[in-house]
Amino acid sequence: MSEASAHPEISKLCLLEAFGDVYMLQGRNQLKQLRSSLQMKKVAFASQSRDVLYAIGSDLKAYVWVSQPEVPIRQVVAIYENQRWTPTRGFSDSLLPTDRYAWSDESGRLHRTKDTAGLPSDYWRFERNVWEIDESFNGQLLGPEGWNYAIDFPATYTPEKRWNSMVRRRRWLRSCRYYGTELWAPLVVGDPAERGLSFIDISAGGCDVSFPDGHSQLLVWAVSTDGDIFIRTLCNRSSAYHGSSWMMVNLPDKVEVSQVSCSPAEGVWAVTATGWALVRTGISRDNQYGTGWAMVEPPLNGLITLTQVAVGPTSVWALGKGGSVWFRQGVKKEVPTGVAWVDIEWLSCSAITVSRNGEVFALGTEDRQVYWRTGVGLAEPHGRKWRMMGFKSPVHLPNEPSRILNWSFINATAGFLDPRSSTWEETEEWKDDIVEQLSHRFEKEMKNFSSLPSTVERDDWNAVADLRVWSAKHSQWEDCTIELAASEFNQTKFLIDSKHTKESILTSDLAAVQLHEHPAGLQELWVYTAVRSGTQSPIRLTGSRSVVEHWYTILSEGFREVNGVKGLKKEDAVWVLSSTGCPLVSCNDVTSKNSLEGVKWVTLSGHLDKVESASGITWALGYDRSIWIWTGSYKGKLGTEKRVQNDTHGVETYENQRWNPVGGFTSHLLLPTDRHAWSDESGRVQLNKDGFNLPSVAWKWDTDWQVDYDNADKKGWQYAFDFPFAYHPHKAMNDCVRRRRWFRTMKVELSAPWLPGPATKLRTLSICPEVKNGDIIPVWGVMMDGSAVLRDRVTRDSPQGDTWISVKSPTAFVDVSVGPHCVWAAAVDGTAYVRNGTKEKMDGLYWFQVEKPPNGASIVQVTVGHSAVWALCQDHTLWFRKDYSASFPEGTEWMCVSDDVFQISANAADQLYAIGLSPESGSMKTLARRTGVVPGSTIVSDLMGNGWDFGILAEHVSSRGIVLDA
Amino acid sequence: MSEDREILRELWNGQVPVHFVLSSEEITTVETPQPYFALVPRQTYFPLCLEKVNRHFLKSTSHAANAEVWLDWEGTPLRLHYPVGVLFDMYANEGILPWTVTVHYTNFPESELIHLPSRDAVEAHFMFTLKEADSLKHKNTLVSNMQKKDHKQLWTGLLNDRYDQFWAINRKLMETSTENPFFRYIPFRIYQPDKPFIQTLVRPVDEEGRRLTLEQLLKRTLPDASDRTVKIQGIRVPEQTPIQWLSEHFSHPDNFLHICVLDK
Repeated sequence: MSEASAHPEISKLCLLEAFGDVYMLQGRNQLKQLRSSLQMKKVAFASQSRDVLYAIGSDLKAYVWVSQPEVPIRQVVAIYENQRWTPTRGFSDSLLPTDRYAWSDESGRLHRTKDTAGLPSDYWRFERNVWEIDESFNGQLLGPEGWNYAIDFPATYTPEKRWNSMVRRRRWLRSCRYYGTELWAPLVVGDPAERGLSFIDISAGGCDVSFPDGHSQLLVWAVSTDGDIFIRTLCNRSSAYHGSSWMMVNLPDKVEVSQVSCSPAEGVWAVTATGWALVRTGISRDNQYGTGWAMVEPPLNGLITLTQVAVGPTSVWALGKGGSVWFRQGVKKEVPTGVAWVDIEWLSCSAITVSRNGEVFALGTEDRQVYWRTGVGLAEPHGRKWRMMGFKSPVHLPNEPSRILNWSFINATAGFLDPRSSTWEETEEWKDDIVEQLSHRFEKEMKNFSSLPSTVERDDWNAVADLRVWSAKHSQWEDCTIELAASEFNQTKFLIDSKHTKESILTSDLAAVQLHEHPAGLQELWVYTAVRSGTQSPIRLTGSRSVVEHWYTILSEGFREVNGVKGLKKEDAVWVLSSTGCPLVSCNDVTSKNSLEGVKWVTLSGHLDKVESASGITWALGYDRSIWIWTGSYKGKLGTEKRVQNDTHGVETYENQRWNPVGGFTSHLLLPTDRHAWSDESGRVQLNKDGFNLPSVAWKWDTDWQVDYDNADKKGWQYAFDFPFAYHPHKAMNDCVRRRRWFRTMKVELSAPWLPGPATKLRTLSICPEVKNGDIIPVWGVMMDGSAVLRDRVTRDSPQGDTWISVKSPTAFVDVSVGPHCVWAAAVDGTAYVRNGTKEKMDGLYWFQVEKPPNGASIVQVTVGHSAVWALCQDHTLWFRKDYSASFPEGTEWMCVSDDVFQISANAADQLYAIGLSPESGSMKTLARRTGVVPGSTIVSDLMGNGWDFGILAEHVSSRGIVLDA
Repeated sequence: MSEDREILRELWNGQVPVHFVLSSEEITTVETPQPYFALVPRQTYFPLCLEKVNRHFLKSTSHAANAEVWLDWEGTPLRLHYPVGVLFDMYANEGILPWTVTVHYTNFPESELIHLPSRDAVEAHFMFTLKEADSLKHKNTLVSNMQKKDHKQLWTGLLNDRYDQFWAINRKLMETSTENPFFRYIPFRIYQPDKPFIQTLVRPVDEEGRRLTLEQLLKRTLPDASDRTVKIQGIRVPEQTPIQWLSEHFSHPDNFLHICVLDK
């Protein structure tokens, strides 16, 4: 499912200047010119996670602009070497006349040799001079020769030579890289017939559409000078967004098109030469290009001629001749043409556009300024008023004050803009001024007189609230009062008073404070004390959201103050993520404690899915897979915490129905044994669509509820014989139930000590432990497509590193772990791979495949310690790799250790931390540590340990900052 | 934003250094009593915090312990129902610190000051001002819908200088929603030396939906303020500061923005 990403880099819109220069505007003050000698007439902002723009030049040809990507765009050009076996010569290149060429493409029909295999276009270059033999086939490693055998040419190939293998072939690869970034590259013309095509408009959308096989594509539509409309096929990353060819789309009889607009989601509208609107119909999951057209009459029964239309994710806007602005009311999935035109008063516009998140922008005809439509939302889809955007046009370029910029066109299709946010508002200089003045005031009026007594009597005060506390003994919630009171010696006491619970805790005894969220909206405050953080459960409190959150803040601040956590940056700390994505760091010495009970945890701000801390740096991944790097602070004092971290999170619910002879499929006649009409995937938890609350005030809904069409029919239904059976998209004869998945994303923006890392999204990452100060720290990651990458030049002083290095791998990975001597990875097929030679060469020398554990389960996670390697399988079993050593990192065999484990992290002190289930916590995931481990030992049972010690509730742990004291 | 929270705390904790001197008319002993120096919180009212001062001076005067206290600065009686910080900004600023204030127990200036004889009187005045601010900010007043114990908590929070206790309730009066991010009107008062205070109805947004700044508020209510010193909570707030934000963060505990405009 595509998730709208809120990475600040996409908060841009694209402006075209009268002379033909293209600019990107990001925030009020950041205007960047896309430097080029070419002049453009139209421009379309299409990007996905980097800037991709399409444009029509003054020569009426189509161009594409790709900004410099973090990881270079590569393609692999492949040719095949084919050989046949003859009794006299064995396998050789003398083939039958009916065979394919000795050197061919995959189908065998085209002749391709090493010298003639061409590059896709002028903007691609081969990276290395040599062709290399492909050593893998379908995820399996072949020998260095790389041959695949078969009976005859177009048959099934196998790596082993069978008795009847008469032919063999091997693949030669050479990778080429796209160099046409940061410039306007003309779109590749494949077919000679296309050479004559000239265009007057282009539009690119589809950045939020999810495609069946998971690969994303842009949908690019263009209008030719003859009034025909075309689609550019295959505009994906691997073609460097050039696509491959133009495909003409049939129009209704005698209709000529003058303008086209694509939605970032689904939807294409066009304007005809006569001023009518055309809507593409028949767009579905299987056919993103649609099947037909519907005509829409212009406003006022045809009196107005339309000149431009702009399609957003859920809305359609248009401009009429003369600059009138119109909103199409009633555009829905079922009614793609909408119902009526609504006149939008007041402003005459020369161009209009809708951003990816539905915000509407326009250029005024008279003053050429950028206007934003305020109030556009679910309640008022056509917004309330036009507001001039903060910055004033004419804008001057910094170096050319004499040149005034006049805007002629605007496009924001792929931009994720929030004009209310601080990047677009006036810069808050006044706040900085206030903060500084307050500091002076303090100096002048208080600091110099600190010896004076105060007139206020500090008698025992208290802050009180009413909440409910969980009584484990009676398994129920009880009303209680909580209170913060001053006690002797200037300490603060936290009191809980209910029918069966009377507790009094000093803030110095607090071990951790967590906020825990249930899927359907309840919030709980979990308070761990030094006595309780281990095997006993924490104090659980619930109540109204605002009260619970308020107390969470009070207790966290008290905790931080008591434990003196200010500029305390500990390298050897264990990091943990709570179920709400909140990071906690251990703030006292973890290793020396016999059990996790005595450990104290300080809460940081943040919303993260993975965190990894080792060798003095900490990287993390948000739920949307963006990388964040810790600044090292624990929430600043006045005015210092200016960093913002944001993340998006998806929620889902299933609509369940059963078939009955009378009414067909309905949710009203579910059997008593069936799941709820609205439930989670397992069916056990009831989840109504309206019952979803945002976790806290910092969250906002990003999208409305949408149906998931993956593996489902046109309306999103999946059918099955009964509920927990195999679901399929087409109703079969005896399918009695069906379900439909709804999903929605929310986004959060927190003031948190995290810096945005490199702009690539990663599935997972790992940092090498035990690296000395000043040395380069190896950081490995797995990209979203499963390829392994290594971040270059990461040190303690520059935790960002420099560039990404691709590591050639035979297969796609799901997890990676870097140790001091080698790198282990888990592959998509469930086996593991070891990368040898990382001490000699940063990215290692070669991969070695390791088999699955004896129970056949697929490995999903690996972690490398000092003397041990551990693996976690899909069935939650934990395995230990026997006989691992620096010189023999593959080990010999897997030994079963435990089950019910969800995540693992081993460190250089040979401790294994994991997330598992403790007997007390029931089904809630808990932090655990392996007991009975003797670090550095060579005896297997010493390294495997013999049991688990449990700590606080957590979803994720990274313990790789801990090292053995020398 | 955590920055805003820290600003709230900093403003709450603000105190001013005061030099209390017993008026010569009151002295009945031979020796002149020592002056009393203290730090007084900006957010409180003088009648609430003079216990120690009284105890100190009572040795030197024959007047009863429950005599009604009043203060003056250089001959000008101080309005005891104004917050301490406001009085300080009006009279003490730019002068020598600590701020010298004269303490009286007799000859209460009936024509110039309002009586606030007891703690309860101050509480009543405080709650009255709070309710006025509430009705200006919200169409449906929140204070009247609160429980009695919430009212008490606001008062005791102020009385005992307890930030958390006070803000636990005050938060609700300062909250806005995404649909309605602005108060109806901004509760504010403009003070000038020797003039009655100015209070008018001002909305935090203009017709176009743009946030009003302090500069615009002053233009509308006191046009000649542009070349005078304007202080709120003891600092010269920048002119572009939005007044909605000011109301949420720079108000005194009575929820009013007390703005002092002084001659240069």
